[in-house]
Amino acid sequence: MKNKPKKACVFRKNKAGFTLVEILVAITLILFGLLGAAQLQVMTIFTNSTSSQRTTAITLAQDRLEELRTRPFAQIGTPPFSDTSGLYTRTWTIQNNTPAAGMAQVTVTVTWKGKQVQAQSIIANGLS
Amino acid sequence: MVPFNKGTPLKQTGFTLVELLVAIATGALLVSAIYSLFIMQNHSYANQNNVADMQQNVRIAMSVLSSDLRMAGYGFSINGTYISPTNTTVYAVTPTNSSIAPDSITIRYGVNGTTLSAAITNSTGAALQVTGTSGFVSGDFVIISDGQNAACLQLNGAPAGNMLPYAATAVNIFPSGGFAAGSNVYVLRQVSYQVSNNILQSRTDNGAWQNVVNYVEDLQLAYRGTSTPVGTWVDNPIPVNQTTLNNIQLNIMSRTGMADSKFTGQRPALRDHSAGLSDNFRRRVLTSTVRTRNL
Repeated sequence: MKNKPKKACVFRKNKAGFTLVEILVAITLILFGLLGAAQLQVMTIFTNSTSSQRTTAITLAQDRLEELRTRPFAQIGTPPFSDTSGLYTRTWTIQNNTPAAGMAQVTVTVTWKGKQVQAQSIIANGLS
Repeated sequence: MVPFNKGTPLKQTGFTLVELLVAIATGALLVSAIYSLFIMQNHSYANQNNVADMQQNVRIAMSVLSSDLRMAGYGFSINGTYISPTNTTVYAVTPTNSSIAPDSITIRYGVNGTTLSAAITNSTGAALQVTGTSGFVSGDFVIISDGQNAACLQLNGAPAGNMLPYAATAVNIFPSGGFAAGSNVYVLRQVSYQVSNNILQSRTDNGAWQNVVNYVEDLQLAYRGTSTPVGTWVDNPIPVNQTTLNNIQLNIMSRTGMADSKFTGQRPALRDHSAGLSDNFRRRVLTSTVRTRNL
């Protein structure tokens, strides 16, 4: 009677509760959850930072477009065609007589840390 | 000795004191981990929320200011000026520079256009004959412009039919020959921008200041004209240069709404406004150039 083996609960023997392994597995699972939540914050900070950089980059591009509009039409194609401001590199290309004669299609590209933004506009002779 | 519980087994379930202590310790460890994570997340959430707001604020300020500045001088003379009812020349842009505080600016342009249906030779008459009077009310200042010259009159009565009654000026402010039929007539709009207590404010026609964008800390403007020296940005152009002004540089700085005690920064120098003392705010600066098309 005393040594009669129990039918169920091969692992638990005669004590209810959790084993160390079970606890460790549970902690690991919780850890994954917590790390995921922490990763979310890292993503938020990263996205906010990228958004800020994109705003700066597109402002730089628009700035150059506006500066090109200020020039007399004949001087739009005057070099240089690139400059650098901090970690941003700005290049621009002029396609004369595009989309029609007396117009120029200007494309300004700003690159930084492997990312880039582009602004495009058409400048017409006599209009600015 | 007969076992006490024989036949009537008394169940001894439950936790021992040691088990309880271990459980409490493990639980406390878990709770403190979750709590510190929550604090960290909450802090980060508040900060990033502030940062996103700050970035949005500086973008809005730039968008509002640059689109309004582009209007400066619309419907004025070829030089972007007009002759006031008291016979003085008024410029489309009035800059107010400061090296110890944010700059402010006043711009003027015409809105609600109509055209003269009959030529008018001088400004000492009683009414303008126009093709439409929609948008004109008594008390408005109106600009008459033929593209070359522009003059300003004040309406002193409600539009009657196609007539705009105006207050006659003491002397004739019109160019010789007056304005031909077909000249444009606009309502004068005067808009000012300033930064007050970290809020970008604007007012129209000398009315009350209205808040436009919060947490804009600094606004510094620079001007560049076609007159010599070309290509040099000046903070405070002398009025005569405004007739040949064709670029305005906008430098806008915004900061977070709440200080972050774990962050140290300072207001950086912008144009002629020197840097501030160190504090706990994050900041963003946007710089852009506006081509003033009508000047």
